[in-house]
Amino acid sequence: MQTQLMYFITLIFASWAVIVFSFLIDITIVKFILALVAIFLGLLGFSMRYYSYILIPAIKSRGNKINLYDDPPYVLSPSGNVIFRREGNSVYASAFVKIPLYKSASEMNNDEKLEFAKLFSRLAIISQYPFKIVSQVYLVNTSIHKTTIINNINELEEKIANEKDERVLDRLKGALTMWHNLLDGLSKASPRDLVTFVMVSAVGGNEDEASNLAMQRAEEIASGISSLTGVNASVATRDEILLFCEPTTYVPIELITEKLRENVVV
Amino acid sequence: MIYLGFGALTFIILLFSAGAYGPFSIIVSALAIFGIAMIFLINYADFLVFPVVTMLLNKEIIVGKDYIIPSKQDCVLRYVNNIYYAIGYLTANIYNYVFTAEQVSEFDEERMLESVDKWENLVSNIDFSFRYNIIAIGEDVQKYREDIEGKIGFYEFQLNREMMSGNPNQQTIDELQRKINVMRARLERLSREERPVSAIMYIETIGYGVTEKSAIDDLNAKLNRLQVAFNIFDVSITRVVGRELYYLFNSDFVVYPKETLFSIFAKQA
Repeated sequence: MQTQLMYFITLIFASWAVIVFSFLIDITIVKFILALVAIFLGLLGFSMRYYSYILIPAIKSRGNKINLYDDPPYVLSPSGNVIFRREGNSVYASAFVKIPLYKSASEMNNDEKLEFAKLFSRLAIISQYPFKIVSQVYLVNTSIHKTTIINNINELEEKIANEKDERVLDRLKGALTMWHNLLDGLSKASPRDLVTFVMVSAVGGNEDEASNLAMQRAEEIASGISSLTGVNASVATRDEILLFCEPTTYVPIELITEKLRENVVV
Repeated sequence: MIYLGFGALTFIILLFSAGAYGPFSIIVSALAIFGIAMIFLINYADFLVFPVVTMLLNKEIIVGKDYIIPSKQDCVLRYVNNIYYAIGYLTANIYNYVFTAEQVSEFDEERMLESVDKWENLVSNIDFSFRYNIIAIGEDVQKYREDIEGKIGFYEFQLNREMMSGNPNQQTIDELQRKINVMRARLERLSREERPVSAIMYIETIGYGVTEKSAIDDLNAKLNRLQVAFNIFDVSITRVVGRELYYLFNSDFVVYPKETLFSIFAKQA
């Protein structure tokens, strides 16, 4: 932010200086060119308020791509409980707190519903540091379950082909129908899950410093949430973190392939 | 306002001294007016200006390894395992429900009760992944209290002046009294030990496809559906484009410090 202000002041003062200089010159065309320069500097100076983050890389860029950040947007810590992002000389560490809220509105009475509605506003004041509360609806990746069911079906079909005993054959056929029904049900529905979590960040000179601070804040928030809501909020780790910040986990590739296959008209 | 004043000064000086540029005075005046218009546009509607500039220059923005903001600046694209992911955002402020400035009336309580059922219906009717995000920023109580007291003083001064004037306007008086009541209600909530919070609220979803276009089309369809679905909450929903898109994308990985958040999302927070 300091850099933005510095660019703004420098360029605005430069534009004023150019205007003053243009008044001192007698050649009209030079005066006009200086006025154009002042206008350009004035606009550039004002734009720096919002766009200093992109204008400098844009000037340096070649071709049609402006490079603002070419590293992975985050790196999972070796311990798996925070993610890091380096910006300039600072390292940001972010920790996640999952809030297990499972109760449905249909199971709540009016008082409970009112309490639930106020929950987010009460959560918003539990920490003095800025933090993010997220309610995430995501499609459950059923591909693993489907693979298991298909394997079971194949296995049963093989057994049925080799089985001679009528009674065993009936039982196997019943099991096969059950697995087929399960597979049909799973293919027709798109199971969804709702997860609520809080994300909090801390900045430090190095990864350890940032990570310790972020974990400390996350634990503070977790205990605040637990006492406020009565649920056992806990700091998320590895796979849970990926679900919260990695698009390929949040919308898994298997699910996309399946959806795309469904949409292909044969 | 300070930025705006200083920024506009260059063009105001040029406008009033245009005569000094002889035969070019008309062009200088026109450019000065254009400059003033531009800084107002940048200040109040930069989401209109910025994407137009990148579209005209055909510039794409790299915001991370494998992540690109296309020149239209309406989404973040990622290409991985032969699939394009398009991430898009909608602002969705629900102050009416829980962050209302005045006291919660019975009517509001009814709406809050309904909101729980509405939320559950919404979740069960949307068959794709999405997120509702709230970035909460706790404010300095003392500073907030001083700001409110300052505003009350200012409104009371305006009210007195209006009432003392020869021809008092009843509409202005009512409006000022309403503003004073709102401020007093906030002050009362502060004295009940409620903490002031600023919040940035937005919805995020992901579209996908085998081509860039199909992923963006999928995203647009999903955002439209979310827009319609969230309308039941009576929230103000706007598609995020331009500068804020970059910062919301970063917010998936970092919650910036208070000062940075206020400067980035000055209008929303």
